[in-house]
Amino acid sequence: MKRIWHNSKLLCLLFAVLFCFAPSIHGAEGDKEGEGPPPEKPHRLTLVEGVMCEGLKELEPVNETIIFSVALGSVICFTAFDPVPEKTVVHHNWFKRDQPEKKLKLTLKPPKWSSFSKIHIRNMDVGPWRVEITDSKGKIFRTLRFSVTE
Amino acid sequence: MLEKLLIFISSIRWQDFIDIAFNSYILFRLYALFRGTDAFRVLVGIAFFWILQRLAVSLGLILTSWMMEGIIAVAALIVIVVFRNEIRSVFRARNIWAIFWGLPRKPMKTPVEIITDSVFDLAKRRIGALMVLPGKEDLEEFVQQGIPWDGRVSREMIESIFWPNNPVHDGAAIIAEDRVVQVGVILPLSHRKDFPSAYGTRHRAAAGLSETTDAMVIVVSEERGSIAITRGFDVLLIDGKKQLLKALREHLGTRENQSRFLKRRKIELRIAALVSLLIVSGVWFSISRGLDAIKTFDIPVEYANQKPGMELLNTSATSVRLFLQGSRALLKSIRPEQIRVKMDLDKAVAGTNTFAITNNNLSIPPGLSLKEVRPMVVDVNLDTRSKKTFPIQADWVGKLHSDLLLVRAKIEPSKVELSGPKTILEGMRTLYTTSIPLNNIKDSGKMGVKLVIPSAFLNLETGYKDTVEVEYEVGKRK
Repeated sequence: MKRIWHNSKLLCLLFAVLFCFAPSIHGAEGDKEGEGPPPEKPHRLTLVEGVMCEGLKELEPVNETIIFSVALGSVICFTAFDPVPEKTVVHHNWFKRDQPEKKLKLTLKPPKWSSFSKIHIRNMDVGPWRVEITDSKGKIFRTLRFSVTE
Repeated sequence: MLEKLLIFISSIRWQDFIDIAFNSYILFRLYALFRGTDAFRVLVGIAFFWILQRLAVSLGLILTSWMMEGIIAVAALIVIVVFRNEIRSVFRARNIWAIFWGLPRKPMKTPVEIITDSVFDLAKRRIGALMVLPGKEDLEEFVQQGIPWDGRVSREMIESIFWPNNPVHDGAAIIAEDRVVQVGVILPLSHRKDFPSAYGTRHRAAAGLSETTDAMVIVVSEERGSIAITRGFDVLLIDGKKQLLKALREHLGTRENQSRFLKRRKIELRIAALVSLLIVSGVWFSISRGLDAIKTFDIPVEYANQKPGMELLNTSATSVRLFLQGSRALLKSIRPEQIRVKMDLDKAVAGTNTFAITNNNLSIPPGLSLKEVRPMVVDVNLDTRSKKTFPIQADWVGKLHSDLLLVRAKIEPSKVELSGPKTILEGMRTLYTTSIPLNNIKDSGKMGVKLVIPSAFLNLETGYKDTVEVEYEVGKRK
């Protein structure tokens, strides 16, 4: 558990360096433990949670919403996978009105993993957006839709 | 010079010969049909005014050209109204082919001597008679109850028509050329108050017709055995045969030397035919062969015959500029609607097709030639029709209250199917709604919102509406 938390902090630092320009994506990843033992877990990589939110608190999404005011400054896409059978990567592909804006690669490690990506938003980003969460081969797990407003 | 002439002659098409011949014939027929009538003289006058008007235009005489134009317009109307009888008599020929083919009939010599002898014979026997000799006007409107006769004029026939026991002897006989065409005709009575009381009903009837038409009427008095003729408003008593012969000849325009007249007439018609040919050829050459001017026309391009299932997406040109060369007169009279630029897309394939604009794509009035076209080629983008299903995303705008969060939104239906050009469909991933304002949202709710179809080429498939229902959930910010 401690090791996973350490890894998460390292990744946070890495994303902070990678996406320091705006609009940019600031990502971090961390674990998110499941609540109670699931009755039967599938043996393949499974997305159990995917939400757009304003912030994170103790690796939990805060203020889940589909509207993000520019005044807020950033948007977070939070995803949780359980199980993660093996070390793999997923992608958060950010689109603004069908135009790709950012593609972010996130590493997942067994047995379960939570990760997020973050973008900074400005006035020019107002409009409908979506984030496609895909596996390493491009298979879409889920599409999250939201709008950036004034 | 000779070479130029040969090139010019070789450029004349067979259609041009037909064009000239046909119009020359029409002109000649108009001359042949209306020759000698007042209408013809007025038409010649109008033609003269037209030449003057063109001359005034070329010299820049604005007021004169306007005035001539006005005179021509009014004169054309006057010709139709005033000369309606002449025009009608031309077109009321018994045989319709006579209008298009037959030459004017040879004038039949009215046997004025026989008529004169008969009239004096009737007068001698005190047999009343009324004979009408029509002028150029049609009498049908003015006379009534005539019985068709169509008998050759002879003394015996005239005497028998007016013989007291004949049922038609009281009416008038109409004599046209050498035939009695109608008998028992009732003539309109003159309403003149100054008409001499000595004259009876027969004289009043004769005067009634001659006052209203250009016919001459011969009256033989039954009571006095006197002879009178009426022409216009005149009633003239006839003393001797010579006087009647002279009056008849004057009225009928009978010429002494008929064969010389016919020969002259034949030559005149041949000259008329030649002049018609020369006039039409001159007009034709000046209009269709003149290459003294170039005029530009912006013509919309028509795209046609695309394959079924293909959609025309866009073209590099919706109109082209044509530089047409021809005579100034012809170019001036051409309207853009008479010119067409048509691109045949039956061989076009999906993607960009480049077509050169050639004479084959143009439909221009004869006599004009294409000098230049801009652009010389057009690109036509075609695509096949396809279908695709799109998820719908709400396009939220404005500001939500700072304490509130729009937690989620559900759109019903969540997807719609569109049909349209494949390229457009492939480039699309999402279909958006129209802007949904957030400013007034306080609680969860739902609303109907229209979809934005991003291209006019796209259509919603059957079963889908252009409005969706958006159900939204509002939460409190933590």
